[in-house]
Amino acid sequence: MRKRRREAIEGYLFLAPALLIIGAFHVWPALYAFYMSLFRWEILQEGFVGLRNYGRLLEDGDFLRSLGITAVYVLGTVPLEMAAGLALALLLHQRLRLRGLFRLVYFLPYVTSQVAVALVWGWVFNPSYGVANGLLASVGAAPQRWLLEPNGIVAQNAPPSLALAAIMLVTVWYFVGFHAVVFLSGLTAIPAELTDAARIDGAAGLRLFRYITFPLISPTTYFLLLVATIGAMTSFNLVYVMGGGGQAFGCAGNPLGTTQVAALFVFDRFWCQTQLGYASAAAFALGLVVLAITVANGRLFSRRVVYVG
Amino acid sequence: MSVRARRLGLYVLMGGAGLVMAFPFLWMLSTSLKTEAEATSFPPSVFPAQWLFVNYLDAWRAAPFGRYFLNSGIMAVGQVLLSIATASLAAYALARIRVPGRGFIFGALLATLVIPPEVTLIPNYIAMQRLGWYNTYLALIIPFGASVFNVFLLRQAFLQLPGELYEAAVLEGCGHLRFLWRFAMPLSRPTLAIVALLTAIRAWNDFQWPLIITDTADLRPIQVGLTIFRSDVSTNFQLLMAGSVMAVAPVAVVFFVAQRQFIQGIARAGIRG
Repeated sequence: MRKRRREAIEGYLFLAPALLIIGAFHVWPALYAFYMSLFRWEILQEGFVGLRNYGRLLEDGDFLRSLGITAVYVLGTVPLEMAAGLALALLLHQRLRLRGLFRLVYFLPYVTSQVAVALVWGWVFNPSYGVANGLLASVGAAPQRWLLEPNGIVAQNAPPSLALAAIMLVTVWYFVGFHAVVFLSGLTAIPAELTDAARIDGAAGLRLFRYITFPLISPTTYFLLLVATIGAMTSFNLVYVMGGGGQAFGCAGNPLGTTQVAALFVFDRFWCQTQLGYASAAAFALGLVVLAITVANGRLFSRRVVYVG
Repeated sequence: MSVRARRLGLYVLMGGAGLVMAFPFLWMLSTSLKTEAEATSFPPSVFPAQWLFVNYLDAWRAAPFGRYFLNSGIMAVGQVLLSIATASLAAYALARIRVPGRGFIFGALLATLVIPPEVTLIPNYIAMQRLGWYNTYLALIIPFGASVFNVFLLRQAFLQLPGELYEAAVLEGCGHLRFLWRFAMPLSRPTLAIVALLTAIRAWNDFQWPLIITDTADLRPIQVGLTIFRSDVSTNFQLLMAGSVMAVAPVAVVFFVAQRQFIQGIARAGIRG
């Protein structure tokens, strides 16, 4: 009995450092963000305002627009990067030479820093000297302003602006290798007997994929959907550096705020306008939206996931 | 369709995709070697007329890159060491010690993964000010000194160790801490390598947090330095690209050398930065 207790105490001591750091810098701040959101808090803590910051958010056109832009950003990137990632994974799953090399190249963007690749893509999309306009010129098309273009690609005033669309393209490019690698590990885990048996029964090509492969990798698909959605909803670095960060642009999500996703809105109110209480309210609200969508994702898709073994 | 034509088609597809994926990196390299006049000529040339490696020297001199690299290095090494220590201890307790409520603790740890970084950013900024850690290495290292993913990965590794090993060690009078240090950690070296790699690269590439809690060049890591370098060199795109190459190069080299561990780690933990 005594030995049991001693062991338990030892166990808690082992857990203490990790729990302390995660608690102090990850869990407590999430609660403290809610506390801060109840105050008028510029640089210093001022008067208690209750839920008024949240009321203000609901009437703030910039905030509502940032949610809309975030929704477009998520819907325009996550399905595309997942589909392209799965396609690449299926290619890599073939018995081919140079497989390792291709996997390396596809995956390279994901290990490099988002700041550096955002600078490179900013250069590619440079309106005066960029290679994107160089390609357009070589086929005789009119040059574009890319990251400086606030006009929408579908309708003039509807998101995504060309600037946001360009950032979405870069986002897909950045994450597709990640999806490919995780999908590939899912494909490799499918027992060979299953696919062999299906082949003997005459399944091949698209039918094999539709009825055997796709259902069997559904846990991977579900997992990726979850991670990618959360990541895209809170995406900051790429958007900040390409669409409005740095001294050249300020915090606004240029051009004309058309790239101001929710994370950028939070950062703008916090860092550039030092409205810490209001920014905390926006951040906390964003956190709740993320949580709600995570739960909804679980409800919607987890029943369609097939687990084997 | 013959098998041969099919294979050729596959190679063309994969090669095309590879070119698209690699293109920005090639373009960055190409621009970094051009003269200013050539970099800002339109339409752009694919290859530099002459290879100006001196651009790298100019970029290096135009900003305190040495200091930026040192700061990123300190941040990465600090986070790796602290994170491995905290994660090993916690993972060992969760896998091997009979702690009441360990299922609950593990579940609670996993649940913290839904807290997005935006939510914790502002309170942590305030906390750094109050602790007096603002613009210090402590702020760059301690808050990221424990990661749920690392605990998760190491717990898996420790669970796979044979139970008899521990029983035999106990008979020899070996306690938990010594067992962890002498047996569990050495036997889990592949997982530790993955944890170290992922933590180091995450630290090297981190941007938003160091942006808000560093204030002077002597604390600034490379990613923050790079955005400041952008406004300094403004239209000298060849220098900006040389700086970007320098920021990417260390990670790319580590990735090429250790790609197997790296890709395994990503596939197992599914970490998205």
